[in-house]
Amino acid sequence: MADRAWRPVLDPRMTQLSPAPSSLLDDFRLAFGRPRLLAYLAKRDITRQYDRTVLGPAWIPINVFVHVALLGFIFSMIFEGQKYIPHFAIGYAVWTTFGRAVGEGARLWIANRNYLQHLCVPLSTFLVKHLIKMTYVLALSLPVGALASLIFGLRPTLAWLLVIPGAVVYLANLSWIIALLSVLGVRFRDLTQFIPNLLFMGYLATPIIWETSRLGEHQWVARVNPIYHLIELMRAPLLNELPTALTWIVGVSMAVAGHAVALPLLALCRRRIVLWL
Amino acid sequence: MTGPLDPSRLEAKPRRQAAGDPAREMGACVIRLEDVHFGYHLLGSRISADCDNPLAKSLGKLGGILTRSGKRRVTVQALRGVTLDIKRGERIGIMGANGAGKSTLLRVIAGIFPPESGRVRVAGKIAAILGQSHGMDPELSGYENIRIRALFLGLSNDEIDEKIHEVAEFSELGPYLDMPIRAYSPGMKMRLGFSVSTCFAADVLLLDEWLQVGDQDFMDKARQRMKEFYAAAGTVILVSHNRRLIEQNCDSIIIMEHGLIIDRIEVDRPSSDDPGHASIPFTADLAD
Repeated sequence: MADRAWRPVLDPRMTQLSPAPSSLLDDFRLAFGRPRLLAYLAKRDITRQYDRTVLGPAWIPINVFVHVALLGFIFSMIFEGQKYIPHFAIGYAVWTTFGRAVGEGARLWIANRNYLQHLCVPLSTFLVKHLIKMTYVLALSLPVGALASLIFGLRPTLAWLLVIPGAVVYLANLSWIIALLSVLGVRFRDLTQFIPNLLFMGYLATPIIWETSRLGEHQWVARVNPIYHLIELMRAPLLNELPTALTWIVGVSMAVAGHAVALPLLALCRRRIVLWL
Repeated sequence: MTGPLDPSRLEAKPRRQAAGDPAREMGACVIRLEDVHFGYHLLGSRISADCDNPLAKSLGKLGGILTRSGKRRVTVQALRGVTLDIKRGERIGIMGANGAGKSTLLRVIAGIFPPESGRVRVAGKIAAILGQSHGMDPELSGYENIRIRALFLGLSNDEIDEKIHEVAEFSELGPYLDMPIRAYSPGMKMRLGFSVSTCFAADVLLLDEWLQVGDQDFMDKARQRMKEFYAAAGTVILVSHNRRLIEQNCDSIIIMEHGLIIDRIEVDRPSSDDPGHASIPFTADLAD
């Protein structure tokens, strides 16, 4: 019994050598090596928020619909035009995922502290989980915007297909925003106090509830707003328009630059995150 | 005898032979700590103004040494240079006053806390019971928590179904496993935590005061499982304040104080009780 030859190194994925995982790359490799875990955690994370509700995740599109229907009804008296309600509906559908990604992203490590403080697990598992969840929320919200377009008589053209690359660029941006805010949010707790206010200001300052054309000669107010471009990536196609070159350039370069900042920061701080909880 | 924890059940997979393969370097050691320092930096905590040199203040044996840098930054020096070799199959008990660094040491070994300086090397897989939550989500049901743990370990769906059945049987929690674990009593949580943490093959088992809340029946089962683990030459590190428990279950006792190992005592045992052998009775009993 006791004379079994010792096999010192076992399955390397299960073997913990300090520091474990050895690098951020290793961390991601471990996380992506468990696709079923990512899927299960994401699925459970989505459903647990609706655990004791009757309607469950259907609340995601219902909330978008109610918000747009009520406020759209009032604001369409101020802002006229056939495209006003679809413009508002798509903008709000994208905004709602942005708001959740930011708000929940800043609390990501705090929300998963039970795992982080008791198990030696790859951090990126939780980042990827959150991104999967946001993809799901977007996939449930955006159809409400598309529906509004159809109801208000827009005939889908080939431009609609651009919503797919648009969504990819948008999610690539959410990826670095989540990574960056998760680290900043756990270290600087003031941030979590400020974020709701920031999001509310962002909602009003970005052309969602009002159209860019209302700015008249002050179009720059929209153009300098990165969130405007992130929304336009999906809103323009669903309104049968093409996103401008500027929108594509801003979207793609922000995704690249954002990761160039967020990933090194995460690599630097990843072992300390558990100490900041 | 192949208990669930049995290290031999771990599948050996080919591994890249890197230069200075840590496992080869470590020889017969499963765990090797070299001059490990670790401190908790408490951001935004104050200690009273007259406490400029906390080292001078008599803390007795309690706690880690406090230092401070700047006005609002207090550091609890939880580990101040710990060097430790633990061989395969050794059973170590750790004792010491509250705050001596015992739990921190286990967390550093488990890979949860990074050492500030020094080196921690572990050749093998760790199963750990480190605190009340046992690394489980209180909002999720027992079954869901077992599944998540198994998925973290990379088990296949068939293996997971088997493990879920095994944990359900061992923990005897029955219908409670369908309920969120926030509804469990502390003892029930411990049952689930122990069952989950010990049902997957491991080389090293870390236990932090785990025996406190279990009832008699479950303690007997836990002892049986520990015996199987000992028989398969698994390594155990047990933190407890109960000297009798430690003496009955460990080969040696490490005494910690203020973040340092101040003594390592071999436990005397009648020669018939060959250490590392299955015949060692696991009879510690908190009830008497």
